Amino acid sequence: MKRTLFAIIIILFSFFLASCVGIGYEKICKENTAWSSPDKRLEFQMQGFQSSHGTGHININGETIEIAVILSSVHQKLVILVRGEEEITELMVFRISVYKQGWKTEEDRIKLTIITNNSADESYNDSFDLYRHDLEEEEIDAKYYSTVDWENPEYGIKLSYNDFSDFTKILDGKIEFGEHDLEIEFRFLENRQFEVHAGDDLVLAGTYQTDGLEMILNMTANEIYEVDTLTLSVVTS
Amino acid sequence: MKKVLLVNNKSLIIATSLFILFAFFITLNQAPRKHLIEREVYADLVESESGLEYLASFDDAKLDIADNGIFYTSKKQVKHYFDVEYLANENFSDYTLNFDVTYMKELDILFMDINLTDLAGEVVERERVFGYMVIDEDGNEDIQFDFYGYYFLGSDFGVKEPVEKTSLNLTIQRALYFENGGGDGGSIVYPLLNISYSIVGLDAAKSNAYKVVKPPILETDGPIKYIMYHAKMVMIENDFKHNSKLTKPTGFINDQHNSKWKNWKFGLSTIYESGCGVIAMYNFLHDTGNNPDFATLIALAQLCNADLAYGIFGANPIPEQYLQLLALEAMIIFDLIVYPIAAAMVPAVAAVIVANYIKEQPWWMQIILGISAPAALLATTAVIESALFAAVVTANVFIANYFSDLHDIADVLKLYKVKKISTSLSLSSYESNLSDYRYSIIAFWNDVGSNGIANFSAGAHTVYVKRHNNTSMFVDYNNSNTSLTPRSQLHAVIDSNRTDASKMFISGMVIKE
Repeated sequence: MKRTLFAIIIILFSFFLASCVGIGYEKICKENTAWSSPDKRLEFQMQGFQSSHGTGHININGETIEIAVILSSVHQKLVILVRGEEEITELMVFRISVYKQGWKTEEDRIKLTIITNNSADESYNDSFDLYRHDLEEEEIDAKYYSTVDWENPEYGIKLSYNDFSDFTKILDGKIEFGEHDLEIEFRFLENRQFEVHAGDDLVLAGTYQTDGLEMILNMTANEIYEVDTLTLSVVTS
Repeated sequence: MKKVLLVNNKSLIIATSLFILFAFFITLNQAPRKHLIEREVYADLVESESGLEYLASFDDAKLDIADNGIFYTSKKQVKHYFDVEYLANENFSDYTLNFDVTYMKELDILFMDINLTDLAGEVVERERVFGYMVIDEDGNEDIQFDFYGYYFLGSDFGVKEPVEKTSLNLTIQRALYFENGGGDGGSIVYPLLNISYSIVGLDAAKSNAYKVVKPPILETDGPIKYIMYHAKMVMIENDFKHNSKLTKPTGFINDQHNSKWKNWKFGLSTIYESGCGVIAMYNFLHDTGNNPDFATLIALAQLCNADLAYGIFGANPIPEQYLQLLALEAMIIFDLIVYPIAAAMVPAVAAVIVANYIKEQPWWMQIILGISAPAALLATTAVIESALFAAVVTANVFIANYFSDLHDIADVLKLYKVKKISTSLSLSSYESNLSDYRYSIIAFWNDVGSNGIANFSAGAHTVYVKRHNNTSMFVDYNNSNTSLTPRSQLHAVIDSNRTDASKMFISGMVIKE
């Protein structure tokens, strides 16, 4: 009996090797959720396709700074990124821990413990909790979909994020349709409006709606297509 | 040695040029060039110049390395090949050689078109050469060239040893030898440096994996091993079919947390959840120029049984000789885990057997299968279910089979001709192994409990770590870490606090190349 029990433990032990996501950690990363600290100094959202990439803001010594975040259940870290002069840099890296009630993992609360703090604000060096809640449907906005590409193969349009897109809300892109072969910039504006520029030329403009992993463009200015509505889908692979 | 007169007419100018270009062209995907240089010490022609640099030195050179092949065009004046005094006609020296080279990976065939144009741009000579792999009467692999109907083998030109060929993973570490060639009256060796084409496609993966895991034979290995093998094969084929349609990764994979990896199947799991071991292999192979195909690499890990529990627990970072020590009598695990998994696959297994293996089955199976296709499917399913049930009753058969065929990451890497891998199970041993080498893959627990023992429920992680060539700093991929780590703080790769690294350490593979 003892031998069998020992064997079971050993084999269970060996089976856990190289499993990347710890038990319960997979539940903390969820699409269309918002995280915030109790004092609201750190807040961010995960919108759309990604459950680990998001954007938000952090308060550093009284100043609010825009951030992009990676909440990784695989690496069990929260990485906070800020925009530098020429590159995106790490502001802070936290280790994340889950809370458990018996066997059950708390999905809506995690504990952060600082690993690296490149800011001048030492108040983040003490461990603190982050709380999660689901976003309302009207809060979902393609503008805040982090690190995703969009495409509509039929109309030959593809938008790709770059390192700065989370901060600039500008996507690079291409339109290859009919006689058009354009390098474009897709700019998210306020109030769910957008503009598409090819060099200095404004080629598309209008409003957009967000519907899950689709973005429906309703165009008021259109130098390319014969249609006034165009649907882009998130590239999911 | 076969003597080749190189420079007495236009055709031979072209022929010589072709081989010179060929020698460099096939170096494109090669990884550690320096090893070949060390080995082929007499290859003095290009001892300091890489194949890529050489190809780029041509005029108007355009190189396109695509998934399905390599395409290269360029031109060069004849005088850059030969001194005027050695040319049959001195006017040739200002003529131009135009190269158009295509290597089709899937076919393993090289096409080289070469035009000799005069000063007015008129083509005065046009030739094409094919090169492809052959196996001679003695079973040795070689390169056969077809030059306007004249066939000759690479070995005719002094290729010293049989060319190694691993399906589409072509590796050549030999040299073409031209006696009295090159215009200087002496012998010249044109090295064919190490060219390593990635293993691409399920067929290539299977043929490679057979070196690690032999497909079981029903009569000799028994039904359990046979059934489990084919059940897993169905899963692997389905995974590959799905994965190969997804957008291939480019560059290092550093973002396993990206939701797109949820689409990549890895047996009963996904790359997002348990793909760190496969990603570590990919990053190493990518970094060393092996051009891995990610979908194929996943299949290879599965085919080699380097996946733990059908992928649920990722890829195995521990050599089998250590794990076999663990294979005692734990049959209950298989009651709980393997049987439900296998049972779910039974219909698919049956379908595969009906479709592909009828002729190879023993008489009793053929009788069953001979009834009708649907009935055969049902009957076969019943047979397999019975066999599985019997196996679970004596689950130690499963245990023995599972562990006897379990392999690890190092076994998969060896299929890419990565031969010198040393695995350590302690951090100190790993570090002493690492001292003079650049590449390694380490696996570690994610956390340590308050009792000082690894917290197994937090899972484990496997990452590729390499020493930066210039700075000697270490860089780890897919570990949410963007900063370089000095040798003194290498433990931070495992544990950010660096206090529990030795407790969290599982294994470290040092690739000694």
